[in-house]
Amino acid sequence: MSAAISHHPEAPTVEHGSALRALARAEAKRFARHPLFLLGLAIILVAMAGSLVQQDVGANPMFGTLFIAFLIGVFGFIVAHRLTTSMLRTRDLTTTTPVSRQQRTLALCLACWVPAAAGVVVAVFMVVTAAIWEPVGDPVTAHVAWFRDDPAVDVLATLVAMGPVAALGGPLLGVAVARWAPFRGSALIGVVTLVFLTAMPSEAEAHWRALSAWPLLVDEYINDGGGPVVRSSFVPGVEPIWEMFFLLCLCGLAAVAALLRDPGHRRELLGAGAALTVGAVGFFLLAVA
Amino acid sequence: MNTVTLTDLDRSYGRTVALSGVHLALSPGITGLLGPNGAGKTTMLRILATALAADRGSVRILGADPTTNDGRVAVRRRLGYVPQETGFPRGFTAFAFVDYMAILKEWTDLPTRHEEVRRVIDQVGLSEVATKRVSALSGGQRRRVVLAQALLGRPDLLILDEPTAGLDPAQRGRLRDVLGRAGEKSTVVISTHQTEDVAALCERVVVLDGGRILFDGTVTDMVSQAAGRVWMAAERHPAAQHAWRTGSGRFRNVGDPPPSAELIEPALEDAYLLLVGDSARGTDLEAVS
Repeated sequence: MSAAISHHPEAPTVEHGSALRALARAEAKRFARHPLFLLGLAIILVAMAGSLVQQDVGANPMFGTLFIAFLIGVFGFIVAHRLTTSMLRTRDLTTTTPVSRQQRTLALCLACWVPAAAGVVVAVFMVVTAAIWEPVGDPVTAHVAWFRDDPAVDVLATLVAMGPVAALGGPLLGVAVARWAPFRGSALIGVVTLVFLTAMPSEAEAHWRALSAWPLLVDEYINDGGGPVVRSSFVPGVEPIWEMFFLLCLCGLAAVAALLRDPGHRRELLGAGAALTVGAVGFFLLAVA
Repeated sequence: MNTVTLTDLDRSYGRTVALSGVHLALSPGITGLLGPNGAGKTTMLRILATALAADRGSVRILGADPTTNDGRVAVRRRLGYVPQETGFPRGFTAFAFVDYMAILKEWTDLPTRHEEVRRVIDQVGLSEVATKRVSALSGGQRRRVVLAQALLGRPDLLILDEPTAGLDPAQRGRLRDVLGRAGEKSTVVISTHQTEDVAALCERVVVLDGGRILFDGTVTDMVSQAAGRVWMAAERHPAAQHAWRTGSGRFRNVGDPPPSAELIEPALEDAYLLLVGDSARGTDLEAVS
């Protein structure tokens, strides 16, 4: 609803109602301009340019999702955490404005479309370059057959889950951690925990890997006669498409957790949280069934 | 018409009583709030700014009840607040910070918002440093950045907690001009230790001590209470509550003068010192008896 309020005859008219949109835009701009986010993007750009120049035939194309997950997802966690806690310094000012802290949290969550969009762009780049350049070399070491041999839906689900979804999930988790643990060092603890959880060993059972946010590729050590080589393939026993939906539900849960920190809309948030939990459990079971 | 009504207001922090049984009604104009450190001034201002709730009593601000969510939002839409101390998020320029605060105050239309931000930045004399990072500004300039955000939208209620702290005489003069204009239509409450600012700006003065109102009236009335109790002498007089050597080498004595004292016109500071001193002595006597 929009209401016009004029404080004094000469005062400009203030339009209420679309503050959330304006604030989300401002937070998105802050996110996009954050040095750490830009650094992550710059490294990815350099890596992408390098792969274009070298036509990286010996590498697994899916390996690039690591860049997205780490340089956008994990860096994004820190950026989102920083943006969320930065306004604590002006607490006395920001708490006396009509926009509530919960709305500010929501704006920060909405601003996470920036890293997610960056993840999409990089993922699309990977798909396009992999489609354009015909793979050459040893198909085992190159393992570029993923576009042809594996089901397309699994390939795309893996790409989305490990790319844009990871790029979205990291920052959303950063907002949630910052809201619930706004102390110095919580970002570091969060990042270490995140990396630890996602760096699940290859030999871990499928359901444990599926629970972590980095479950869809596993390293295999192959000796093809010319020395041992490492290649990645899908984790056996994990359905990528359901895993992708499971991770999306986790993203939603992170946002709900962040919003639940402040009073207001409790019933709706708890409802959404319950639905997302049910969804997450359901998709997880489907993923490892 | 009263814009602010506080009735029988109490507020404590643990065992420390910050406000006790405060009754106050304010109307448009400038009111100065004086009192020693720990008198309860900041607590009162934070209650007026809806940053803090009272333990007991009734608060009515601009026709709204700030104990309800709707009432708080209604007040905040018409409020400008300068807290005693505030930090700034990293990376913001003066313009960007005021712009961000404008979004939090629901200025959603970009051209209108930027026009308003430029207006208030110009009003506080920061146009030349608007594109500088806040971290690169001097303490006085930062204080004016906070003042600028408070002036957004020409608020009906302007609350300033020690706004002149850190400002040089020229900046104080400019601030007086800005506040003088604001006080023509809005209710302005200024807490300060600078009695000369109150004397120069305020038509009304409220003195707080120990969480209670010691005086509430016009500046002239307060000054008249010190009539006949300020005198000049060659020496510090033992009966004086306060005495200091002036630039002329003679002593300005404030207290109960001897019969032959050379009485002079009192200033607001003299009246304040007497009022707070008498209150402290009264408390001491009560404690003894």
